[in-house]
This record gives sequence, structure tokens and C-alpha cells, in this order.
Amino acid sequence: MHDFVLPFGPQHPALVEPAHIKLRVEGETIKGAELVLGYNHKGIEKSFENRPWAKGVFLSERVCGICGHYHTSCYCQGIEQMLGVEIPDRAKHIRTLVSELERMHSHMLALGLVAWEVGLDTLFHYIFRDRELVMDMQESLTGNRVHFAMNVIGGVRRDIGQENYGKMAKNLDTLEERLKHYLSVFRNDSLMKIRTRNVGHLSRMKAKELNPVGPNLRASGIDYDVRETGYLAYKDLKFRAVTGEGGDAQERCIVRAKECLESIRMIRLSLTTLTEIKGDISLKLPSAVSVKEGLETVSRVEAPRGELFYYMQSGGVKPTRVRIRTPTYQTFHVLEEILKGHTISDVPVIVASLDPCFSCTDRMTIIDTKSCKEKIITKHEILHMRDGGSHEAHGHGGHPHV
Amino acid sequence: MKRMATEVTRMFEALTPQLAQNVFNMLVFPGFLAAFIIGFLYMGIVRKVSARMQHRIGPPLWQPFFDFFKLLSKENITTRDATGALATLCPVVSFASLMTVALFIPIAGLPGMFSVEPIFFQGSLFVVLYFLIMSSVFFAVAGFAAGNPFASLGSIRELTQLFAYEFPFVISLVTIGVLTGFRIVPLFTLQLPFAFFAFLMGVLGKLSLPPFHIPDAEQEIVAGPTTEYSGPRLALFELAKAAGFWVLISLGAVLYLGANSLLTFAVYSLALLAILIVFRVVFARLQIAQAFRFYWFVVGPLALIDLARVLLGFYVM
Amino acid sequence: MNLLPEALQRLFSRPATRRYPKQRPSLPPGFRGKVEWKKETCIFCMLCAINCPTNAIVVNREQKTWSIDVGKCIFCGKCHDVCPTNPKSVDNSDKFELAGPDKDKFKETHKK
Repeated sequence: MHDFVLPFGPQHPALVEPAHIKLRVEGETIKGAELVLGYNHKGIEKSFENRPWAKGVFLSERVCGICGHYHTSCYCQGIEQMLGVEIPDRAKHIRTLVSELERMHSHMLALGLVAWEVGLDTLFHYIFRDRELVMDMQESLTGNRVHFAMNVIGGVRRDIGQENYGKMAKNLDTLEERLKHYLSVFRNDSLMKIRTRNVGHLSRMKAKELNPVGPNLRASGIDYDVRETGYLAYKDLKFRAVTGEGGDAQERCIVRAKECLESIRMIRLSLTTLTEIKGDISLKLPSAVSVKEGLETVSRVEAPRGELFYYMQSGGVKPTRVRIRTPTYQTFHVLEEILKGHTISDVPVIVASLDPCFSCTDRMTIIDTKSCKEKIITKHEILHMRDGGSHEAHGHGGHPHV
Repeated sequence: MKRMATEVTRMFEALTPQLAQNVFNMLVFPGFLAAFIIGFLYMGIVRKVSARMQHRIGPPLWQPFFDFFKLLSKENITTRDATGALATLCPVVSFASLMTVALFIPIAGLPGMFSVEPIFFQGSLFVVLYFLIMSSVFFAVAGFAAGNPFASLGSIRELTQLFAYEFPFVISLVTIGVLTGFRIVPLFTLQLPFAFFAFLMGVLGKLSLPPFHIPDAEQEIVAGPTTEYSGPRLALFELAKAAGFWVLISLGAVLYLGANSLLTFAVYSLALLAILIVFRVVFARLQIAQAFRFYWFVVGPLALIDLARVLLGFYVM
Repeated sequence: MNLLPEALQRLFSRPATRRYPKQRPSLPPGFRGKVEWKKETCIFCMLCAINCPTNAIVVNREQKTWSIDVGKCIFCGKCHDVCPTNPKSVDNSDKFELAGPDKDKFKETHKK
């Protein structure tokens, strides 16, 4: 049988966002996979450089639609480090609480998508219905369903009042019960087991070698979670990282479901702690924050998909360089390894079980159509382009681009 | 004008009652119109009820009709790599062969075209079997004609699945055939549970319903064989699918549950539909190799047990 | 198979989804919808325009106009936070159905 190249993406029903995987298949078996990124360039890193620190918070939130709060947390945390200030305890707890809510909705989205990819629409609908409870809580706490705009440099913008507690406690109870049910479905449902167990297996050794982040790493048995360093309020909330042993698609789902349960525990604890902590929710900083020129810092938080990393270099009232390393960027190359030997019907399941987020991962690639050569554009070239005037780096289409 | 009218009248006078009945059978019931209305209605019921089971409102019952007429009004696109004539022919043949099957089934005790004297096939069960296979094969050929890797893969899957489910499906029909003399007559055969089970699995495979929605797995290979199809051709495929629902469910209601009146036929058909819906709601998709193993090593041997019972005389009607 | 009990139960319960245009969603207090301007209290201090992260708000002190491009607005509520008047002259309303085919209609200018 001939082998042929099957394009998986950039437009494909199983992929919500544009990425391109060239699958070399023989019949249904995958012999090799090549990952092509670069369909969704937004130019956000560059945009940071021409706006003041305070406006950058809202920009960083636009890196990702699912985990925007982590980006602002990471960005603000970096600036606070450079300023040498510590935010009030109440602000820390609120940031953590919203983070954990967002983690839950992100993980439930991932679980639902895995269910959908294996063709179990019913589970997908149930999980997304229950995810709506999390979205409701986010909406009533922050005012928006996504892109909460909750963080500012030096704290948070909204306080969490007692009026939310009753509804939240009820929602959390329902969610806990439902998530336990889904955990058992992912563990025990016969067809779910057939489709996800030993699929996309990433051994402990390989995981160490390829070094993905987040639940994908922890499902392979490696205990690595930035939250264990105890930033924000995680120390007070006695966070324990969830790890699994299997390293396959099923284990990744189970780890995600268990992390949701851990989030529920932390949110409950956080809500009780918040009744005791009084005080401001934000530091009184000048609206035009200025950082000493030349200072640089790295800041990291644990986003739903793993470690999120910001590097920032100050140029006074604006940054001169912001570098974002998103979790998917650190994880996605694992795909080339774990797809081999599986069949085409496993591809969507494996991709979904890694829970990729292309919106924040994509970097710009320029393809010269005449020679078909690709090159990744460098920072220097972008600067040069801007000086040249006519081709400012921007994306294609009408989406809010990075 | 007047002359034409007289011509038409004369034509109608020339029709013998037998011929008139045949035309009625072909075009109205159980042929074209019934397949169109009842088949799409079945699909609507499947969508609506499974939506409710998934805790959502779902589309209206007549959504498949809307889809059909919308598709008819759309542009007919033939891609550069496609074989246009074949692409048009395939859905037509697929639909026509299912319509032929409908004529062999004595639906609701009403005389079908080929199910009463004088044109009564002795081995009509085999004819039905072959026409059902033909419908699936032409569905697969349509995918090869489209010249698209996803469609080709879908067709390969469709054919593989055909080989998989056909083994237990044929054994199941033969088991009943031994009892009826290979004719299709209303017969209650639930005393042969494995044969019924094999038939049911075959129907799931033929209609590509979960857990066997492998040939048109949207998450894997887009729309399978129909990936490159749009407009009226896709509408014809939808119609063929509706006809598949109509024919297979009717076959099950008559041959396995013994529906011999309008009431029992309706009740049994809906019961079969309910079983299909439950399967659709609670099962994930198998892989093609897993489905193959399931059909050949689980369903097939079970069906053989019932065939052996009938052949060895452990079962008397 | 683990889903069968719930599926059968849901068949006879009311759907969780809502018939949207007919059935309205309930919005929580503090929901951030379309930004609206009250001309009575505005003092044209320009703070909302300066602090807007996307420069969606433009204030003209001479002609006493306040304009917003809803297409640019990201509903962060920063303009509301920085507004110095009491009661605030810029506020998020409950309006959320803001899609439209015409880009120019997103630009609104209000005059005092």
C-alpha cells in the first residue's frame, strides 16, 4: 500500500484553531508526523513595546481566550517583582480564586473535547452544560464570561462580596458531584476505555526527555507544578499537585478531572479565608506605572496547560521587550513522537488529550511562495520592517491579532 | 390541448389495476414518497430525541426536510479531481437500490409490488441482501470518485465496515430465511435473540450510527465519502440515508418482529428506532479494526449459534 | 454505557439550553456590557479616553462630544473606574447584543 500525506488542518473539524499536522500515513497507520505552525500570528509581543505598562495588562489578556487571567497574572506579577512590591493578601486570594475558576472551565473544555473527539457527543454536551456553572460564577464575580479584566498592577479590580457565596457554594457542590461522575466515566466507560487507554502513550523517560509542561507532564508521573512554589495564595491553600502514572490519553483526562476537584477544594478554602482577610484589594500605585529602565525579570505561573512564562525588560514607562512562552509551545512537539504507530482515528483523541491552545502558541512564519522555503521571522527583522515603514508586522484576517 | 387530455385519459384507461398498483408502489408507498417522508421523519426523530437525552432542545422534527430543500437549492460543485458523472450516478444508484428493497417488503400487511402474486420471488431475501450491499458499495464508490484523501479514506472505511458487518448480517438473514423459505414474510423470531442482535448490529453498521459511525467520523476524516459533495448531490445522499432508515427499520419490524398490520408495524418500527437512538446516545466511536473484530469474533459466532439451532432443528416454528 | 441512566432521565426533564432570542439570559449585577455615556454629569476631563486600552473612546473638549467605537471596545470597564464624577458619567450597561454587519455603525458620537 502506498503511503500518502494526509493534511490534518489548518482547517479541520477536529481542530478548533489553525494548526497543520502533516501525517504520513500508510492505509490508516501513521508513519510520521510533522508539525507546521504559523497560521495565527497576532504580533502581541511587539505591541507590548509601544504601550504603557498599565495598558499592557489588557493586551496580555488577549493572548488567549481560555486562559487570559493567567496571562495578566503573570504579567502583573512580573511588574510587581520589578517594582519590588507585594500585593495585599486579599488581592492574592482573589487572583488565586479566579485562576482556579478559570482552570476549571479550561479543563472541562478539554475533557468535553476529548469526549467529542471519540464520538461520544452525549458526554460532551453534559460536560459543557456543567461548565456553564463555572462560566456563571466567573460572570457574577468579574462581570465578564471570558477576559475578566480582573488584574491590575498591584492587585485586583473587583472585590468578592458575601452576596456571591450562597450561589457559589451551591454551584461548587453540583460541580464536585458531576466531576466525580465524569471521572468515573473516563475511568470505566467501556468504549471510552477502548479509545483512550494506551493511546498516545508518553512514558516517564520520554516525558523527561521531551519536557512538556502541565497536566501532560504530570500524567506521565513527573511531579512538576509551578503552584508548588507557593506563589499568590497557593501556600495558604495547601496546594498538592495531582500526578498520574499511565501517561496515556485516558490518564491525561483523569489528571485534568482530578485537578478540577483540587481546584474546587481550593476555591472553597479560599472563600472561607476571604471572610477573615480584611483590607484593600489593590495597592495605590500611580496610574502611569514607571519601572527603572533596564530592569528585567522573569515571571511564571501555572496556567491550565502548564507553566506560563513571561520575560520582561523595562524601558521606563514602557517595556522594551516582552517574551511570552506559552505552555502549548512547550508541549506540542510531543505530538510528533506520540502519534507514530497510531491510526488516523487516534489523531483527534491524542491531539485533544494534549489540550493544545494555538491562539497563544503560534509564531509567525513567512513562506516564500516561489522557492517554497519557510523562515521564522526574527525580532531584528520585525524592527527593520517597522523602520522600513510599509510592512508592519501584522496578521491576516479580522481577528484580534497578537 | 384537448387531444393531449384525451391521450392521457386513454393512457390511464390502458393501465391495468395491477400496473396502477405497481406505479403506486414505486412512487408512493412503500417507494419514493414514503421513503422521503417517513425516512426523513425518522432522522428528525433521532436528532430530536437524542438532543433531549443530551439535555438540550435540539432541532425541530422537520429539520431534515429543511436541510434537504436547502441543499437542493444550492450550487452543484464538481471539484477538479472528481469524476463528475460517477459522482452524480452514485447517490442515485444508492437510493434506487434501497427503493428496490422497499418493494420486496410486505410493509404493514399491505401488498408490496414484489411480495404478492403474480410477481413473487421465491428467494427475495437474497435479492434484498444484494441490493443492500449495492447501496453501500455505491456510497463508497462516490467517495473514490471525489478525488479527496478524506473521501478515499472514508470509502476504504465504508468498504471495510461492509465486510465486517456483512458476515453476521448475512448469517442472521439466512437463519430467518431457512424458516421462511428465503421469502420475506411477517414473522416473529425473537426466539432467536442472537439473530436479531446480529441484524441490529448490521443495521447500526449500515446506517453508520454509533458506535459504528466510522466511515463518516467528522473528527477524523471530515465527512467521509461525502466530503467533497455539496448541493443537490449531497441532498441525494441525504435522501439515500433516509431511505436506508426507512427500509432497514421496516425490514426489522416485518422480518424479525412480525409486523402484519398498520398498528403493529408503526409500534415495532418506533421501538427499533428507540433502540438505535439509545445506541447513538450512549456509545463512543470504535476504531475500524475494533469494529471488525467485534463483528467477526463476537456478533458472528453468536449469530452462528442461532443458525445452527435452526439447521439442526432445535427450533421449530 | 455509564451515561445511560442520566440520558434516560434527561429525556423527561426540561432541557438545559434556552430558546435564546425568546428566552432572555439573566445577567448578574455588575455585568459589563456596552459602555454608555451620561451627558448630564460629564466634565470632559478626558480620563476615560486617556486610560482606554484600545483607544476606543475619543473625547473632544471644544465641541463637547464623546464618541466610542464599540468595535474597538473590549468591555474592560476601565473608563468607569477612572471616571471622577459622581454619579459616574461612563458606565457599562446590560446591553450585550452588539453584533452587526455594518462596521461604521459601531462608531457612535454623542453631543452635550
